Amino acid sequence: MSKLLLSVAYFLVATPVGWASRLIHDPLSRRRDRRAQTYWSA
Amino acid sequence: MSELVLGISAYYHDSAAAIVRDGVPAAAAQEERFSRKRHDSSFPAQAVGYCLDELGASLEDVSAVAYYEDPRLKFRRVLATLVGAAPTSVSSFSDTVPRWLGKGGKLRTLEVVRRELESLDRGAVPAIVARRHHESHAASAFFPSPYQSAAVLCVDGVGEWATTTLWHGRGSELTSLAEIRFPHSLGLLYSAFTYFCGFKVDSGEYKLMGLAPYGEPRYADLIRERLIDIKPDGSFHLDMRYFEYLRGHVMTGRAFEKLFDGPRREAEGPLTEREFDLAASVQQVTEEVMLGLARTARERTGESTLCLAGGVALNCVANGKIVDSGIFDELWIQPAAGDAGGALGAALAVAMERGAGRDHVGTGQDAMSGALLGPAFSDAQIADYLRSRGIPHHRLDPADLAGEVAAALADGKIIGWFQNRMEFGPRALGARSILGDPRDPAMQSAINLKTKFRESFRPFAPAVLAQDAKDYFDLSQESPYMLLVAQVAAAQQLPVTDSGATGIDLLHVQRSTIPAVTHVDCSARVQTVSAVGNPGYHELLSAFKARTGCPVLVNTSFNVRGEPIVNSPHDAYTCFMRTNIDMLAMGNFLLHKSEQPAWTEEGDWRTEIPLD
Repeated sequence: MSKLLLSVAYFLVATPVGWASRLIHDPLSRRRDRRAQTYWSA
Repeated sequence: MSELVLGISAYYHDSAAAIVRDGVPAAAAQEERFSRKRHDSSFPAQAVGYCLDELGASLEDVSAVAYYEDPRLKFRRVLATLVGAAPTSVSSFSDTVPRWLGKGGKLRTLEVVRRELESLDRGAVPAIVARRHHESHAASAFFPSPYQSAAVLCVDGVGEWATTTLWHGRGSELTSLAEIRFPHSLGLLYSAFTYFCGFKVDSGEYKLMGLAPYGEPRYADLIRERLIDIKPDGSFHLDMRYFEYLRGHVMTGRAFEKLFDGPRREAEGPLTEREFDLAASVQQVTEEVMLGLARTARERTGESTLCLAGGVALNCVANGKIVDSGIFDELWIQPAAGDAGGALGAALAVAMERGAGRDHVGTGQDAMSGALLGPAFSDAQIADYLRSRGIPHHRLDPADLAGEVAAALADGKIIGWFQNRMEFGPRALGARSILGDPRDPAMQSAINLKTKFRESFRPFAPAVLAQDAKDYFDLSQESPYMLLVAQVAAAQQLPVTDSGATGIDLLHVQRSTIPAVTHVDCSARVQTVSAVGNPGYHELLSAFKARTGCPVLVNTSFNVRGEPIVNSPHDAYTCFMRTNIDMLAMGNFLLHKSEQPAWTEEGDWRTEIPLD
């Protein structure tokens, strides 16, 4: 896999997918929820 | 016929192999000890070979192979991280994706492991199964512990998604109760400060912990306000705007620099008050989180004992704080708490699933054999080595060895102590150790600078006879694996007048009757030694006590800075000759430096061993 191809895939696929998915749910839970009582998940 | 399960951890750092026989750890070793490359991450071919040899087994005798994490799940996390960090992670994306995809990529780790095992030519390879990273840690923490039931906490950098997990161990079962997920990681927070203070990630964390007592925690509030939100139950959330590890190959960047007064310290650069204070601050926050997690573990399980594993469980200062807090009656920490121990944990998890028992429970002993699970060398093997090289030596009666070595130690000599099976895990516990007299104020500096060639600020740890531990340390339980820090007992402390010393100079102030193992805050990382775990070592400590009245020795790993701990007689002799170790006790053989021929070797070994 050439670096150029990967970079193209990154900007054309990964970036829009990343943006779109963050609108629905950020898998990395970056936004702090000030009302949360705990950060444990079951 | 015994059932054997082989566990493997590899391809990140500290590759290792372990064999569990009927649910009991029978052999385990890190690849670095054979390859002589510190933290070697390659497939542990030599460690697997050793484990099979130790059991006299072929791969056909092994029921299953357990790999310590789930590569597919891990890839999903890596991909989610890269996509989640878009558009700022392009270079990381194009570096990382090819390493995972394609033939032989990390996504196909289990196939690669199979091929590697096949290439060993040790018989047909059985089924290979993957366990989750934290399940491997939890299994390594609970199943070999002496407890019938216990709370289990695993805290590390990251495996697949989990960075912190809470489990309930009962009998042969582990139940997952809760987790905290990447990128929110106590281990990575600690590693970020390790990196920022100029030390290597995944190995320099010890140095940061050792540095902390020199500083004041003046950044702790800032860390709590900006970097980490800690809930009363110990759970936490990191503000990722201050970290770089989602985007690239470094831990911190400009935002971190702005917060903590300028650029990171360069590797091997001068240590300033800022680094001392950063170390003290992140250590304080880490302890606060660990205490919160421990309280939750107690509340959620109702258990009175706690088992720990994961890289953060090697933070023996935090472990000592948990003991002092009284949240639990007792702690048991897996001696190979880092990723090497994942090999053992994965094998144990599979063995338990296949019906193995925990027969050691009820005996009061754990199932780790004192962590002495590595290769041993018989007197015949050592004699062959010494004779083949024409190395001058004295063969002693076993009854005389401890007395002779104790006399030399009391005389201020530094001893290389090579006995028994090699330790599994990062600590030397009296099988591959360098020993000295802890009463000598000059010993700490002598071993650091002239023997191990490492930084002068680094403390040394005491080994103490278990029955005398309370006379020397404020320790309410045994610490056989040197994973608890305790204060030196008041009776051993000496009055200290304010000399005005700061930073590294604090080290030169004598604070106790055992100055070589007393850190600047009067703490010590204690190993309690009982006759059951390591009889020869216990005998040596007893002989030293009989001669001097002091049941304590300086114990540090048998290696120089950047080198893995010695494994074989040749490794030990080489290290002995390269350093100012005065005497080498190998099996029942004693070697005096003054009788050895001059040491010559091609090249400069000090430039060939990379700094850690």
